[in-house]
Amino acid sequence: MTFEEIVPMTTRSRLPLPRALKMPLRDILRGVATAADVTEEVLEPATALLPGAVQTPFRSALAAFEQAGSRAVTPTIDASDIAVAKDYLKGVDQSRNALETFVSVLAFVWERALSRHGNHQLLFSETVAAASLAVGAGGDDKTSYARAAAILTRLKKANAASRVPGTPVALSEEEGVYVDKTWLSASVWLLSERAPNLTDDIRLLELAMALTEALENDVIIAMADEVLLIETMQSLAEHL
Amino acid sequence: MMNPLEIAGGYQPVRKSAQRLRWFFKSFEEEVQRLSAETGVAYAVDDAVLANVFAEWLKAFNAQKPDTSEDNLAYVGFAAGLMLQSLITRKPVSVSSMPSKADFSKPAFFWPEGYLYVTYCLNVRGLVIRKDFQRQQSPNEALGDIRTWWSFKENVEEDPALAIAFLELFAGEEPDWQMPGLFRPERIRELPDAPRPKELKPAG
Repeated sequence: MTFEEIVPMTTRSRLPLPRALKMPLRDILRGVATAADVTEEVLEPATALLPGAVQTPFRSALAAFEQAGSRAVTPTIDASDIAVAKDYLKGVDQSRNALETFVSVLAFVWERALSRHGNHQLLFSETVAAASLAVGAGGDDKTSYARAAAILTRLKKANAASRVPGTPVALSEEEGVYVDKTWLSASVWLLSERAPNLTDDIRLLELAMALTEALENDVIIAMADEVLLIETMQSLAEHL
Repeated sequence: MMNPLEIAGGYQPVRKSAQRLRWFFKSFEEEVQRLSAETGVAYAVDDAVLANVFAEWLKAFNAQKPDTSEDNLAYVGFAAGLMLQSLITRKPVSVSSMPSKADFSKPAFFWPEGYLYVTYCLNVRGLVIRKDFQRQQSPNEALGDIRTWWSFKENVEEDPALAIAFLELFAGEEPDWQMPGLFRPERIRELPDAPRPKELKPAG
């Protein structure tokens, strides 16, 4: 099973493979897609004032801009990427390559979460995420779950997902919880037992998201206490 | 009559697999398909609510998990009841369409969602005790008795914890009508001398 079977070819054939782009460029395109989306919402009332002949091309241009960005920034991942990302999270493989793969898997999870919850005005920066984890994420003296919890804390402190990634822009409570749930879902999914094929594994990610959604109050409490976060992560991974 | 779910538990006991969300979704989905094929009732399942059911059940399950392995078998029945309670409370399923010739004197058509929840819990319960404990479940004839279902539906709407007692009844066990939401293994150990349930709560 390859990812081609999950993503329709029509959404992939017109642009270069995202993995061929450098990480910062993917970040920029991700921003472009989100900006186009937000622009459309903001300009919606004004659009109605435009002459009819102008409205259609205007909307088409925005839609094309948004779709182009979205296509380019949705990472293609396969089973081996998931395995490498899992090894990175557990501390088995702490190489630079494993880190970059882990971050690209996070980007995949981010886009997946967006598609579940509709449009969102937060951005995820792979560059910021990778930089925050580049220097000693730890692992030698930690259990898999403790290391995963430490990585989550680093991503959070670095504001890898924010209105302006990498800067300390305060998020609303709802946005903060959204980011926490997304990263916890990603960790729980990666740390759990793999499904027999990629399709089922992606479905498992959806279940991880549904589970953290269902346990939102527990997630909020756990994110404020590292020991509890470790326990919660382990429990969720074992029960996924 | 029901066919037991035949979902492989993999390398671990079925009761362990049943504590995983992936197994729960898959087994529930299969039960929906099986029952739809059997009755002609089409169901719609809300996955988000179903995840909530599992999360709620898992908390309740862990809260009263017995300390000693000798109570594990008894806990299987209780845990199945907890699941029924969560399903009835959260309502993850709705009926999309009924067959044109539905006989509403049959439980499967009188309360299709409730019937699905009960058959699911009974089938998982039966599968676990058969695979993990080499015992057989012997469902009570009350399972097909419409008067029992009138009582069941009305009572659980007032007190969802009674779902646990009703599932015991349907499974052919001695229901605990007094404190159904409390796992009391000593009550089960003493069953031969325990008072028989006198009557179901009245339908109204």
